[in-house]
Amino acid sequence: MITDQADEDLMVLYQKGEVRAFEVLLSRHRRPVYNFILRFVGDKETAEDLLQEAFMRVIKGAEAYKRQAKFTTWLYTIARNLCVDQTRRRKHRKHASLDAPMDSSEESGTLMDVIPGNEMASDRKSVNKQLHETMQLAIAALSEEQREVFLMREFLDMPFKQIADVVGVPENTVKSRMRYALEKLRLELDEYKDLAKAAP
Amino acid sequence: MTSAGDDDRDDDAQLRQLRAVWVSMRDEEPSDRGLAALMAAAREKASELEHAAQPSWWQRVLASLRRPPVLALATVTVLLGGALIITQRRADMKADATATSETSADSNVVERSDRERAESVPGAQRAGAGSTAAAAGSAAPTAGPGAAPPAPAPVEPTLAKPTAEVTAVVTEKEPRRDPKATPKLKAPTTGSTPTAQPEFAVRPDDDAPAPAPAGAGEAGPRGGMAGSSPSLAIAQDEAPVLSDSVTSDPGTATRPKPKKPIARSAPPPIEGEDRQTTKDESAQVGGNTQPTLDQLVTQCAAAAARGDCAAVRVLAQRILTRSPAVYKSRVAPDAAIKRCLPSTAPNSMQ
Repeated sequence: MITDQADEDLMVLYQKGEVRAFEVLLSRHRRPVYNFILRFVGDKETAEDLLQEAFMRVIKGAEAYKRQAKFTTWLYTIARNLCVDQTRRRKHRKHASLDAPMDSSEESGTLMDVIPGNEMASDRKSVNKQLHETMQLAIAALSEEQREVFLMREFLDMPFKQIADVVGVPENTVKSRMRYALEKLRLELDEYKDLAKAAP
Repeated sequence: MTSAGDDDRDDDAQLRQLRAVWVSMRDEEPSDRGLAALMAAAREKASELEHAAQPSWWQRVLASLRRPPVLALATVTVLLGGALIITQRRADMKADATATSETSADSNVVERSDRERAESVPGAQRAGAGSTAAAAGSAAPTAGPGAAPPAPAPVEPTLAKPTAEVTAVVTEKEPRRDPKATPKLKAPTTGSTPTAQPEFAVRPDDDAPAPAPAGAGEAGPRGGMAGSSPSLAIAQDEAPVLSDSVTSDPGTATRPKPKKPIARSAPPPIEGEDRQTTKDESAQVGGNTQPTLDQLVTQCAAAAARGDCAAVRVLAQRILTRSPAVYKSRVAPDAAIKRCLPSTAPNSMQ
């Protein structure tokens, strides 16, 4: 079955003109890549654009792919570079206002809304929502280097070695960045530890 | 989410709680926006890749050539070709060596005949009628009254042996500078019986009697040769009938003494008329006369009849040298002689 094959084998099949192999790869990696991009850039629309651009680059660079390379390393390197480019472009713009809507949808609140207040949420759902939003803000507050390492390590469950390959730095540097990222998150979320305990 | 094997996380309680929070964060589902465009691009690229993945004709040929059976066939072909080339080259080298020796033999014969001609003039004046008899005797092998009918000699299958014989005869005339150069040509000098050396008795000049006709001066045939006897030169022209072992013996060639009687006392069976020893022939050994063109033509025809192509070539060369007209009229049309001559012989000889 083509769906049971490894990513690398599927990529080789696609190099031979097998479109079905690319479909399998797309269905297998579309969602995690999208969430990685989304947590990196913090914007759904931009994340979708970057997701499409990432897979478009996979298509264009299919000839250059070598079987020896791990497909996910290649794919996340593309995605990470797109995210880095995007955030660098965004640095030239004005920072988002706290009153600006977070999303284009009408029901989305402002950043001020999601920053938790001192009062505790009444129900569990709102506690979770508050925690998640606080977590997103804390992650967004990480430096770019720490954020990418943290996302790949904690959300994509990548080994440090692979993260080092994607980011292009030594493995020890990746570990160091990861340690600093966790420390910063711990400090940021320290006041919500009781809230975290209450979370399911 | 749990990490992989290289886990060095700070797994304190607070961090575990925080991790539980972000693990509980649901993954967003991407919208299908742009998915169709993505798949269209993927299909287009796939067709390109499929086209590019097909090997070109030369790649297919190269791949087929790399298969073991083809490699084995190529190896065998190369080996066979190499063997063929080596064999052909060896044959060419043999032919070259033969041509070289023939050329040297021919040139020596021409030089010798010129010298003999020059020397035969006073010899003939001195000998008078005796030299005429000797000249008549030189034709004895073919035209002598007591000559036996020519026995058909076996046709030599290759040119190598006659050529070697011719070479041996020709070099015999010249003073041998390096006897070691042809050690295999050394012949027994004494004690060999005629039966052991049948060619010894067959050789006309070997069987020639010691007494020389008037004007010869020397007793032995070798002495006569050393004294540039023309009749001896004719005998040397009939080199193929000579034995290498005898004719090329330097000691024998330069020895002025007459031959030992064993050669004459027990002659071997006569093989052909040109090999027969007659009194006329013996008489012409010491003579100073030069064979006439008719004699040469006759000898040439006889040699051709017995298949002695080396002798034919030497004689034909002599005839051509002396009279191209006679060569054209009598030698060239002769079918038997023509068989022995190379196809380009007349042109090259002329």
